[in-house]
Amino acid sequence: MRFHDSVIGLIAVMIGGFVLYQASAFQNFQSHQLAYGPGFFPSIVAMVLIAAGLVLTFSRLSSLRRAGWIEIEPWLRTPRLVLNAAAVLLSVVVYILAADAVGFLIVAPAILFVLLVLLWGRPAWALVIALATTFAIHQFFVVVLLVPLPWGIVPFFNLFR
Amino acid sequence: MEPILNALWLVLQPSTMWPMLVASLFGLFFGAIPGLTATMATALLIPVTFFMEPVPALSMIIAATAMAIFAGDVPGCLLRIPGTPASAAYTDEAYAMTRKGNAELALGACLVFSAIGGIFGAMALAVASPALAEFALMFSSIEYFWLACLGLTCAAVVASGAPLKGLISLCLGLIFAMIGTDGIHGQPRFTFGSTELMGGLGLVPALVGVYAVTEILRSATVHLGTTQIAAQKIGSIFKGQWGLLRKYWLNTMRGNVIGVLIGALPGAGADIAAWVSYAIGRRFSKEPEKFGTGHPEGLVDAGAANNAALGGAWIPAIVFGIPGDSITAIVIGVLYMKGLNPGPTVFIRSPDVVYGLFAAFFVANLLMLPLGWLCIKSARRILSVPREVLMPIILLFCIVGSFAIGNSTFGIMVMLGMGIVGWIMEENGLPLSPMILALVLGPMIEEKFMTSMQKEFGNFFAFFTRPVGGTLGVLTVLIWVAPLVFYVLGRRPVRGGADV
Repeated sequence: MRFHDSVIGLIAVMIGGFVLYQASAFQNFQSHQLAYGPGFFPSIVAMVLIAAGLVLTFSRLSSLRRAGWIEIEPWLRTPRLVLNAAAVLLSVVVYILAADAVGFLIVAPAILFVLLVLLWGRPAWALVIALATTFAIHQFFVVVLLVPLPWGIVPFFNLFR
Repeated sequence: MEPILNALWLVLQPSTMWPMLVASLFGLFFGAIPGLTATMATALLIPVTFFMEPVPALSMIIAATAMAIFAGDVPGCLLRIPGTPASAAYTDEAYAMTRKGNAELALGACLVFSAIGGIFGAMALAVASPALAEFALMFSSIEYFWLACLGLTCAAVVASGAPLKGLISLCLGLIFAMIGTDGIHGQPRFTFGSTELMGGLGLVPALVGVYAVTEILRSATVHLGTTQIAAQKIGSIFKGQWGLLRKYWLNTMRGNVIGVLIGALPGAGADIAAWVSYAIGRRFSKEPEKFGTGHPEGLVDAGAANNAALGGAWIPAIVFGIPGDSITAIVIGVLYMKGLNPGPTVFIRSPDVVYGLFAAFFVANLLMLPLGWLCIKSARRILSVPREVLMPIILLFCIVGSFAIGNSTFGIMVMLGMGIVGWIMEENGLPLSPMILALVLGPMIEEKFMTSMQKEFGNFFAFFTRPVGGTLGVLTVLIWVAPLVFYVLGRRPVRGGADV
């Protein structure tokens, strides 16, 4: 989804406005030495962002009517590609939600398998690659680098420790 | 001389050489596969380097990036697809040589002149940075503030090609950098009540998100077709290279110098160095009409420049803590993680690491010759690995890497969030490198600005009273004001003037 430059400018103005509003609420220091409080620098950045956004919005305004607010790119009209992108995003979300409870050694091959099948096909090979990759990453991070990847529900997997 | 020999000895130890070899193969693979870049390879290496000693950690990054920038030429020669953006400038030229039956000469030139460029970059780094560091010891917070501003301005204006969008990207990076506890007053900012956000976004997950997840999302939304390799058999690649070096020694030197200078310019990296060097090579060539038809001269110019730029980019990164390109932006994050705060005093506090780093540059570029040969010989096999298989594997690596930095799922959330932000920005033509540079430099700019303001009791003119700081300040302000002046001047004249 590609926004028109004027819309991007407007979004920048809104973000800048939000930052400016937030910064105004930061504690202010009244002593002479610390006259510039924690909101001072964010306010400057927000004002620059607002100014840049306004210039972008107005400088491209003339082409807004012709080009439209949003341009839908071809991949968004291809269900398969939309599914691919959604699968990538969802797989990370699933990992975040499930890894602690279920365990790395179950969630990782599952999401890897689904992604490989969706993007590449060949389920049998996808299964082999998913299992082998999970094992390799697990060995490298847990055994070599001592990263405590979540074990989850299956105590059996403790054998690999 | 002694510290350099000691450093060389340190780098040649198995504890450094093995990680360097592994990182080299990793870099060659990442460079050779179109869509995987040197920056992405660096971002993926950080979670691993997090657990290592400084010299092996930095050597791994140096080796991986040098190899990746060279390996990007391989699919350029064989498939007409640049493996990394740094090879894009001369992909057509290299492919035209392959079509003419000169694949060996093209690949060999890419390898040999990449190594020469890399070694020149290393020499420039070893010579220029200690000298600059001595000078930089006199700097106060005002000079650092202006240097960082100049760096960010270069990134937003020069490197992005779209100054306004570059500026927006820059401001977003500064805002992301402000999330967390304010370093001067200790006030939580933009944390929205989250205790995890109090410590800030975390540079590593953010970088992994922006450079790796963004690319994975992008590749998920395109049809990745199969590719046909142009050359059937690749013979001896080193044949004829000596002749090229003798004939084009001036081009080699010019490419090297351009590479180092552009590399050292914040925001502009190997890709821009290659474009500029190729264009200059063509401009001063005795046979400019041959450019684009499969002529090795452009390859020499640009191939040397992009690898020399890597060394050049480290100069401001080590001496001032201001990254020269997106790779060194990540490196600065690694330096901070290792407690080696970049700046001139790093030469006094950790000379072993700094000289080790110089030695690693030399060793990596020498290693490039045999390993690059191996990469070219196995190009057919490397290029036949489907990207559809690689992307999910890289995603899992990103997830685990982002987790490993803080042992918490918060890192994965930041990675995902920044990946989505980077993807949306890229789709809308907002350049990513100003945001990353701002994310790295944000805390430093604010700290230097606030301490200078407090030191001078709020007198803003104090920023212009010191000789070096004042000059840098005037220069920076001029760059800020120039577009406005040109805009006003450009509106005044005459019909038929240039379209601004």
